[in-house]
Amino acid sequence: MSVSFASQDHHVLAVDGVSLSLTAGRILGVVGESGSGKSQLFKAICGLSQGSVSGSARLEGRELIGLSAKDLGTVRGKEIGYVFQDPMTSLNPFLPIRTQLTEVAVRHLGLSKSEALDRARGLLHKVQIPEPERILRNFPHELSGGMRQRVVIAMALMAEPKMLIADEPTTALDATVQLQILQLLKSLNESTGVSVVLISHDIGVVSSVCDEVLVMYAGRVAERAEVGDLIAAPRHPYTHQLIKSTPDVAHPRSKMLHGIPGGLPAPETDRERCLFADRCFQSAPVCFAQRPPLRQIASNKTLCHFPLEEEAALA
Amino acid sequence: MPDTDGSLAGAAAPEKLTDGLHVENVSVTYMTGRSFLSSGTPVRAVRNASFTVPKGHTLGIVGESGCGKSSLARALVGLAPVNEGRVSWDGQTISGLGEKAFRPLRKDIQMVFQDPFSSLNPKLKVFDVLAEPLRTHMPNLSKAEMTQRVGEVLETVGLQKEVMTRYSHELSGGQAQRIGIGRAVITRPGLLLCDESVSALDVSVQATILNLLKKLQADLDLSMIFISHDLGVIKYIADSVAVLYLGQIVESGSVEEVLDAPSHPYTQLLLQSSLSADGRRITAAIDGAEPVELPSNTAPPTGCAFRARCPRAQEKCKSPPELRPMSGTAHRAACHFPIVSEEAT
Repeated sequence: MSVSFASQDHHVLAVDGVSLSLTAGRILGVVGESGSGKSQLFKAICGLSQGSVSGSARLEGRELIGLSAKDLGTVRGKEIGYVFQDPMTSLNPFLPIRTQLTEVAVRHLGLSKSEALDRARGLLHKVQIPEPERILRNFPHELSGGMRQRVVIAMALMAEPKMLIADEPTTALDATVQLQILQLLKSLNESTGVSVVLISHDIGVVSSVCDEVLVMYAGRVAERAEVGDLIAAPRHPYTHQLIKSTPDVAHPRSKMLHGIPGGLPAPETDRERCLFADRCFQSAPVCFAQRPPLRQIASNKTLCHFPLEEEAALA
Repeated sequence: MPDTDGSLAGAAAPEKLTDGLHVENVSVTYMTGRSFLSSGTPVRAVRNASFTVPKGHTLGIVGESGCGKSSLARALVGLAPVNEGRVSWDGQTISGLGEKAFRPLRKDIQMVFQDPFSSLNPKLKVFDVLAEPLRTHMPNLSKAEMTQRVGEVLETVGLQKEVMTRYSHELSGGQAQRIGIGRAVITRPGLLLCDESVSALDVSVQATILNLLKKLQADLDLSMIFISHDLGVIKYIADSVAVLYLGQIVESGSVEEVLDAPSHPYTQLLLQSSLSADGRRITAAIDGAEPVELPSNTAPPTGCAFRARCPRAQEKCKSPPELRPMSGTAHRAACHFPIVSEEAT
């Protein structure tokens, strides 16, 4: 899949030929810094992209790219639930929570109003909201940020979707509330079997709940692996440096943090090369001259000319 | 509970007792919902805070949103009123001054904000952004001296001289925050306040900015207050820590004392909520554990403010705990049933 935007002087490739698959029932983490294309990729899959999208995305065999706006609306409500960073993106400030939740089930599942209300009560209970009856009468502004995000998750689950895409769902929340929301996503995945895609800039968030992790850089997948392999033995220098630059309160105090000098390549940069090469501690001339191959080492698939610990890969 | 001995200093005694920043029993109160019929409801954003930041020392302030950390910072730099208590810097009282009386102090007390773009004037080129504080505070500098100071400060914050002619929107987030830091240190202040100064940056850039701030702090012998919600950041940058909960300091001490062996259950909860990149897994929510709404500071709970969320709360917690010494040298916590280090996780 590719997503591009045309700007005044050049063509910006936000997502550059990314291929991936998600096994039903798993939690996939997508991590990357700003400009990595992580949100654009999943917006494009759900027909929410403003850019021009090429490629293919299938949900249980059904092609999503090219669907009409009406069909996409149905897919988004019924098959895929989307949770944004700011819960107010999904909530209408003028309607009580009750109306907003039941509307989804009436429209997508054809439930009666009272059936939909029962379902809403059940889901509010499931997302661990205390006093669901009170919350149903409330308007969004009467709730705290954490409660709003729980309501949005409940809303995304109203029509029993197969997949839940949560785009930075905890970034605006305090750490204690963030932990609760992540625990909630984990328990929903375990109890209902819904597949979850968790998009985050924070490798700590992703590594704490996901089964598999996709690391994106400059529109490409730099590395993909089972979470244990990714954290314990990252093969891409970017993954390695991303982990190293995250300050960790559980570690002894360090004298220096390992930042990554430089920034993303300019949009007009030639893409027939490694896009991380300018910031990489081990780049060689070939990194600037050729697109890196995709290599597989253990469960890691990595886009690098010189994956870390290459001797392990050859063994 | 008057508590004037809130020193967070370690063993090293400052040259003079009055050196550095001294905050004594400071409260910051705002009025909300004020109209012509009512004088509004007071919100005590900060209550009775006392601490000391010696010369060349960094104090980290942590807490969740609404805990009063930004109100406290704004009060220290004269941007919010100090309703009770006293703040002094190098022996001079700086609280209760009007805007005009505070102005000469701004040369010595500077601030780095969270969002580098909104805190830089988009109409000015980088040179003018950096020269502005010099024009205000050191009007006697010649043009050549000014250009030299700007050149020096760019080098200090690790930028090329070429950026001088650019506008802030032409910079990356990391470059813009370097300019924000450069603007703050160009007058060679003694006290630097950083309010979530790295939270808007990507983690790879954040690390380079933290390294820069730590180096500047040592090179310029700055006293620094670093406000953050991220305990990992605080552990790296600060020498001592104060944990704020609903406007009150609930625990303070050296970084090791507070973050490696917390005494207050709230600090422990913050530590447990802090995720690391080491693949430590969190488990699905515990059955029956319902989320608790954060109490509000318009109507703060009586007794210990944390008791509704506290696993250790007992009858005694209905009376307010005082900040009292724990086992470490500078370690203090406001808890009736503090965690003793053997049981801390």
